[in-house]
Amino acid sequence: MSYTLFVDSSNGVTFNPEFDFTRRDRKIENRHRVRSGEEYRYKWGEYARFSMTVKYLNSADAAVVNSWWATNTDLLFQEDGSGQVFSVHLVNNDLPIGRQSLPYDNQFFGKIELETY
Amino acid sequence: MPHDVTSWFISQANRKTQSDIVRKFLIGNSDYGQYVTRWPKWSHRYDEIKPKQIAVTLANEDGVLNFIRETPTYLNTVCKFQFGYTHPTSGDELITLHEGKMLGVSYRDGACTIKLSDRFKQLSERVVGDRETPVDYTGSDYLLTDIAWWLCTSHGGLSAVQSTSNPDIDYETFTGWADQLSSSDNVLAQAYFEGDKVTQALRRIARMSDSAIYLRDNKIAFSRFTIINSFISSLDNSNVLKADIDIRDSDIANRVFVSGRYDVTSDQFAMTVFDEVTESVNSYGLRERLEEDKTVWYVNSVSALNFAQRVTTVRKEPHDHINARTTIANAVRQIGEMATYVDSWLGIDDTFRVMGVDIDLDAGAVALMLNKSQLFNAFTLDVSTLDGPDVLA
Repeated sequence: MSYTLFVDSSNGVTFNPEFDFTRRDRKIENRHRVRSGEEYRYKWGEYARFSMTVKYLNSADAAVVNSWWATNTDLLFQEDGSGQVFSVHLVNNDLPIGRQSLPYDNQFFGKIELETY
Repeated sequence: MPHDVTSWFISQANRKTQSDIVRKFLIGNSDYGQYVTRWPKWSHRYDEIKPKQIAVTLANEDGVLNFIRETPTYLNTVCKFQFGYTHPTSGDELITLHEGKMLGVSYRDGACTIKLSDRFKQLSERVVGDRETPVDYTGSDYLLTDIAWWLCTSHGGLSAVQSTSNPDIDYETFTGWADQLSSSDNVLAQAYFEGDKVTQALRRIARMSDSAIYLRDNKIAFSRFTIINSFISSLDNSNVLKADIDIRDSDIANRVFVSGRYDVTSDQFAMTVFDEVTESVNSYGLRERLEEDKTVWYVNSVSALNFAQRVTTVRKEPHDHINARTTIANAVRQIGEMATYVDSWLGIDDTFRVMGVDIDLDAGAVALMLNKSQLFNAFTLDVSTLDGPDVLA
């Protein structure tokens, strides 16, 4: 299954994430349980979170992804063939694509972590 | 009375699952609620006449709040915290939970923290007279409520508009309080101020009349709580998260002396009255209390006895002080309202008065402070004792 991370239709990186692809959306909410046992839940908001390992990215795509991370670029994320597009930021603490994919010296791998904004 | 909301609002606030709560933080008329990273908490009490500061932190990574630093005159802007829901046809229905003027702003690590202070701040920055030129209200006998009005307006700089359009003073509660203390009880006093802050002077008046002076919709409100109001909300296991109940021996005062007719020159009180509740003395032992004030004092025994009887009526026995943490549905409650509180474990099923409200807008929880001390049948001055042993001078 392939996904595309892009700024616009002419600036995108398409990749096939590894099987560790995870979607872990989070809610911002408070839950209160009253003395009778009933629960009151106040949901203030939610956001989507994706994390995935990508391998065999060429050097150009790796450089593009890393530059987006460095410049906090507003990005779009879409599963190819799906109509749903997420507005995301790269939220990695470290440079996302920073290692070579053995045995290739022109293929790179790393972890991409995205959150909607 | 609670905030003025529709029954639709109440039904929305009582839902168990809510994902459409609207929270706004207005700087002037512009909403910056989407930038708030942590909504503040604040508390209101019936007897705390002092300014309170709260701080709200907003995300400023895109510089949207830099305008405050660039134009420091924004520091005088009124800011509001609003909460409510969006009606499907009539739009937002919101209540203003807290209002204050911007005190200061700080920028750190991409965040902006704005500090606000409430209406009492202005009164805490003004003094009444000084040692060289005191403000002298001893030339005649004055209604205590008139002295309070002049403190707020002439000395405190608040609006003196005598209608409900007064932007600073809750005129409706003021006239109700004035009617009680003037028309009903004709409480007369004198005062002599030598540099008290306006807030200090108001605290003296509140204490010497057993009145509540508090903020309501960010206006100064005045009340002397007495009989049950018609609107009563309900607190029980279905909406109380947690409750603490205290009973304090220190609440009791069953023989109260009130000194009056103070002479500034001789520094002496010419009169002292007292009231005693025998049943309370028999039950709890003698608990005496002297009320005297050299800044605000009563000029006749009737007024002084009115106060003494009020204090013994309120304090003849200890009351339950209930601190009940509840759901956000109680954000509409205001000080002075009634609430029934039911606790089957402690065997409580009674009506109390709301004496304080704490709001945690971040967690969506409200704590109400309740007690019964100022909740009784219509209060009438017992004049039959004026010629008796109660009047000492």
